[in-house]
Amino acid sequence: MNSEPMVQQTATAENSIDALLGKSYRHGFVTDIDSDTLPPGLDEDVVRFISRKKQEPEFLTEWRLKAYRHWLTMKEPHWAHLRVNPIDYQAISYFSAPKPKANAPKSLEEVDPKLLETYAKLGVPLHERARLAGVAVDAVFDSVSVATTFKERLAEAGVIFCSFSDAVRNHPALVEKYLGTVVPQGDNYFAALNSAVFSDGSFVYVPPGVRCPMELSTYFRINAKNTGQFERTLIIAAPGSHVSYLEGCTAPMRDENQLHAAVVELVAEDDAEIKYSTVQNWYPGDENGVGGIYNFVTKRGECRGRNSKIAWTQVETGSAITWKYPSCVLKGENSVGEFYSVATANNYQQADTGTKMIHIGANTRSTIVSKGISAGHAQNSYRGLVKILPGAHGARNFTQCDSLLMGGNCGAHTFPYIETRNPTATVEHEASTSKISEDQLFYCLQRGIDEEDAVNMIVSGFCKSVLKELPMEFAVEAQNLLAVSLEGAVG
Amino acid sequence: MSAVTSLPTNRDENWRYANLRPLAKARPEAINASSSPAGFNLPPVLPGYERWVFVDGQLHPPLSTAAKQSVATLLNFRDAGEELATALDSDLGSAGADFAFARINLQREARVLHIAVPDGADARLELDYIATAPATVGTSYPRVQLHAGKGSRLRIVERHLSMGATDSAVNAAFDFALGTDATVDHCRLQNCADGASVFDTLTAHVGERATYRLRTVTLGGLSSRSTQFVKLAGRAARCEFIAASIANGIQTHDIFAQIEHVAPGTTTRELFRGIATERGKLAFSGKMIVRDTAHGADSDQSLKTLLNGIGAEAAARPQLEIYTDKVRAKHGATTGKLDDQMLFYLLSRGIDRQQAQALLQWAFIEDAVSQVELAPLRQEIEALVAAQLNEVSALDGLVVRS
Repeated sequence: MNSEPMVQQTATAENSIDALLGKSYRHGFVTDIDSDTLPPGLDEDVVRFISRKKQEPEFLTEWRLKAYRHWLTMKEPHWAHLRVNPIDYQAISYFSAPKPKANAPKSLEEVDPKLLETYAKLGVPLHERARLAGVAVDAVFDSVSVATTFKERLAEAGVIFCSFSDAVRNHPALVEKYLGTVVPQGDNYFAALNSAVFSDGSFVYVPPGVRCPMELSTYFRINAKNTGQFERTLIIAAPGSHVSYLEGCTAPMRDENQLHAAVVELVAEDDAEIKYSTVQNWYPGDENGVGGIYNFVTKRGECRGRNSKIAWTQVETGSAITWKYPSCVLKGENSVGEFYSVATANNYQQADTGTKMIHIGANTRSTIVSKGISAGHAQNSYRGLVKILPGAHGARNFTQCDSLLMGGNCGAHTFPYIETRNPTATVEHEASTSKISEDQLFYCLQRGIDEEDAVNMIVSGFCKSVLKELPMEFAVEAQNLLAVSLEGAVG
Repeated sequence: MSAVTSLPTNRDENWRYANLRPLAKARPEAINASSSPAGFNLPPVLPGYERWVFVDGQLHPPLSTAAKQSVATLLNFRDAGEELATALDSDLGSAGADFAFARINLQREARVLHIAVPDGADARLELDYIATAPATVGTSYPRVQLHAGKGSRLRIVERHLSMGATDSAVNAAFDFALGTDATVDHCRLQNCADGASVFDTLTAHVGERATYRLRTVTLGGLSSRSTQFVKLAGRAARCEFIAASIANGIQTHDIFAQIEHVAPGTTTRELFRGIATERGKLAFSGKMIVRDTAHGADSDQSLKTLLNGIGAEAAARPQLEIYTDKVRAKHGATTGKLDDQMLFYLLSRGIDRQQAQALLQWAFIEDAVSQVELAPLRQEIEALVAAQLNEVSALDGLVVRS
C-alpha cells in the first residue's frame, strides 16, 4: 500500500490534535456574585470559625480539630505519578459562601438569580427540566449548598437528601453515627485536611427497604478566587434500599491552581445498593498547562451488609491534576464492588486515578473496567489495588484496564497491585496500551465516514463498556464531554 | 548486613513484599576463609561448559574446570572494571534503595569474575556458588561483570546452592553489557537451603539487535529477592525474561524486574509462573518502561500465580509506563487456585486427586521451566521442582524428558 495517504492522514490527525488543543473550556466563566470569604490561612481558629459559622454541635467541632491536629503531623503524599507544584496551604481561603441577601433562601425563588443563571449555563436541571428528568439536585457553590430540589417528594419516601450542613442541624445523630467511619480523619493527608475544613456537601439517607424514587444529583461549582473547595458527601443506604447518585463539577478559568479536596463516604447495609456516578469537568488549565484545579479526592464505599453492592462510575475529563481512587471495602458476604472509569487527559493534564477493592467477606466479587485516554502532553495513570484478605473465601475479581494514546508526547501508565491471601480466591487482570488502530480508522474512512466521526466512533467504542454503566441523565453529558475533548485526535 | 544503614525497608515502594527480617541476624563482613565442600554432590558438568565453582564467594579451584583460554578471569576488585567501565551502563543505576545491596557488594571489594567474550566468539560458562558458612559468620558477595562482544554468543548457567549451614547469607551483583548482535542465554537456579537469605542485583545493557534471555528458577532460601534492571538501549534489542518460583513452608520469594525500552523496535517477553503453598509468599513486580524514543516497542507480560495453602500469599504488580504512542504493550496477571474444571476433567478420567493436583501444578510451572532450552539443566530443574512441590511420587515418570 502506498504510504503517502497514511502520511497525509497522520498530518491531518496532528492538525486535529492542534485544533483540539485550541478548544476552550465551556464552563470557564466567573459569576460576579457577593460572597463571604475568609482571608487565606489555616489554623485552629479557622477550623473553629467554619464550625461556628455552620452552627455545628460540639462533637463536630472537636472532630474537626482532631483532624486538623493530625493533619499537622502528616506529610503530603508524593508517591503518585504526578508532578505537583508546591501547594501553599496558608495561601488558600478555606471558606467562601455566596452572601445571603438578608436571610437564607427558603425556596428556589429566593436564591440569587445570578446563581440560578450559573447553573442554567452549566445545564444543571434545577427547575422544570429537573422534573422532566426526574432528578433531584443539590447544588454546591464554592463552600455551601445553595439549593436542593424535590426535598418534599423524597421526604414522602422517607429519603433524606440535603446539604451536609442541614444534615448536621437536622439529623445530628445520623451524622455522628456514620461520619468518618469509612474514611477516618487521619486516612490520608487530603482526607485529614478535608475533615478539618470541609464546608458543605451532600447527605443522603435511604431508609430500609426504600428504592429512592429518583436519581439524586449534586453539582459542585468553584467560583471564588484563591479558594479551595472541601466538600464532604455521606450516603447511607439502609438494609434493602437502593439509591443512584450523580455528581458533576465545574470551575472558572483562572491562571492559578485551585485545590479541591473532597471526601465521599458510602455505607451500604444488608441487601442495599448504591450507584455513584461522577462526571468530573473541573477546569483543566489552558493549553500550556497554566491554571486548573488540583483534584485530590478520597472516595470510599463500605459494603457492610450481606449481598450489598456499591458501583462507582466516573467520567474524568477535567482538572489539571487528578488524584483519586474510589474504593470499595467488601465486608459483607456476597457483597459486590464495581468500578467503571473513563479518564481522559489532554494538554498538560495529569491523572493518577484508579480504585481499590478490598475483599474481606466470603464470596465477595469485584469488577474493574478502566479506560484511559491520553492526548497532547498529558500523563494518565491507572493505579489499582485488589486485595484479598484471608477471610475472603471464594472471592473473585476481574480487572481490565486499557489505555489509548493520541500523539507522541503523552504518556499512559498502569500500576496495578494484586495481593491475594486466600487460596480459594481468583483474581484476573488484563491491560493493554495502544494508539487508535490504523486498521479501524482505515475501515471507517473507506466507508465514507469522515475522520473526526471515525475517531469519535472508535473512542466511543473504546469507552462503551463504561459509558453504558452511566445513568441516562449523565450519559449524554459524558458523551458530549468526550466528543469535545477528543474529537479528531488520532495517534 | 544489618550494620549497613542504607538497606531498603518494606516502606520502599519496590521492596514492600520482600522479607528483610533474616538480614538482622546476618554478619555483613565478607567470609574470608571458606570450608571445603567435601562430599558435596554438584551435578555433572554441563556438556561443553567450563565450570567455575565458588564457595562462600571464594573461587574453589579443585571443583572448577576453567579452560586455559577462558573468556572469564578472576580479578582483584581494584584491577577490574577499568576496561568494562566504558561498556557497562553507569546510568543503569547505582543510587536509591533498589541498588542498596549492589552498593554493599561493591563496598566489600570482593574479587570480580570478569567475563569478556570477544567479537564473534561462542562461549559457555557454568558458575556454581555454594554457601557453606552460616550468616552469623559472614555474607558471601559474588560479583560478575560481563561484556559480550559484537556478534558473540554466551551461554551462562548460574547456580546458587547450599551445603552445611542452612542459614547462609548471599548478596550477589551482576553487571552485563551486550554489544551489537550479541546473544546471552542466562539460566539461573537458586536452590539454597531453607534458611538462607539470597539477594541479588543484576543490570543488563542490551545493544543493537542484541538479545538477552534470562531464565530464572527460584526454589530455595527462607528469603530471596532478585532485582533486575534491563535497558534495551540499542535498536531492535530484545529481552526474554522467564521466571518460575515455588515458595513452600514459610519461604518468601520476591522478584523485581524493570525493563526499559529506550531504542526503537525493542521487544520484551516476560513470563512468570509462581506457586505458593503452605505459608509461602510470592511476589513479582514487573515494570515495563517505554521511553518516547522507543518507537515501535513491543512489550508483553504474563504473570500467573497459584495459591495452594491456607496461609499462602501472592502479590503481582505488572506495571506499564509508556511515553510514546507508537507502541504495543499488554499484560495479564492472575492469581488463584487450581482450575476446578481441569481438576474435574482429570478426576473423571480416574486419576486420583493428589496426582491430578500435582499434574496441574506441574503443568502450570512448566510454562516457565520448559523454556530452559538446555536439556540436562532442564531435567535437573524439573526434578528439583517436583521435590519442591512434594509430589515426587505423584509425578514419577512424568518429569524427566530427554
